Amino acid sequence: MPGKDAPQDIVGSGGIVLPRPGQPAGDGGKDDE
Amino acid sequence: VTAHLNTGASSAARAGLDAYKALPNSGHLMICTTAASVDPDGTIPSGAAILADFTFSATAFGADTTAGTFPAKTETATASFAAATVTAGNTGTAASFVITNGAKTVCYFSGSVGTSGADINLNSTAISSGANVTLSSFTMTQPA
Repeated sequence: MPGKDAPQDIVGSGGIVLPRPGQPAGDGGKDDE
Repeated sequence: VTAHLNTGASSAARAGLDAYKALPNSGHLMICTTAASVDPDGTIPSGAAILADFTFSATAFGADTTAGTFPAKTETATASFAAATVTAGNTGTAASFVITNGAKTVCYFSGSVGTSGADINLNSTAISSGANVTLSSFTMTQPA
């Protein structure tokens, strides 16, 4: 546990999914739900 | 709309991914407080809105790897940063990220930041100035 004066370490991961060909541009690059 | 690609068209998709992934060479991935729908053609967040600033390597993304099979085949490239851990420069709640050129004058991509279901998921979106912020993996995926 970090001390009260030590800010919490932040860890994460992620990525971008490019638009599938044929998908309209500008939809945020989300894949089909 | 879902399209499926034959091998030749898939090669074109990979070429497209290669073009996309070169855009942020030596650029920045900045985690911001700005609402999750940052318009890449709009104002690039700056100043106190930037919580963590990662610098991409000169070659921002590595070679593509193919995963999956029809109809869920993908090409994925993994980002390379000058440092995977940076020190938070401001305090705030992370909500979005932007990917820019080196001068931070052009935004190529934007996305959401959260703790689950976002484009980047962190163990906490409450970031304090001085905290270590680590991005253990960041990928770009092209349906192929």
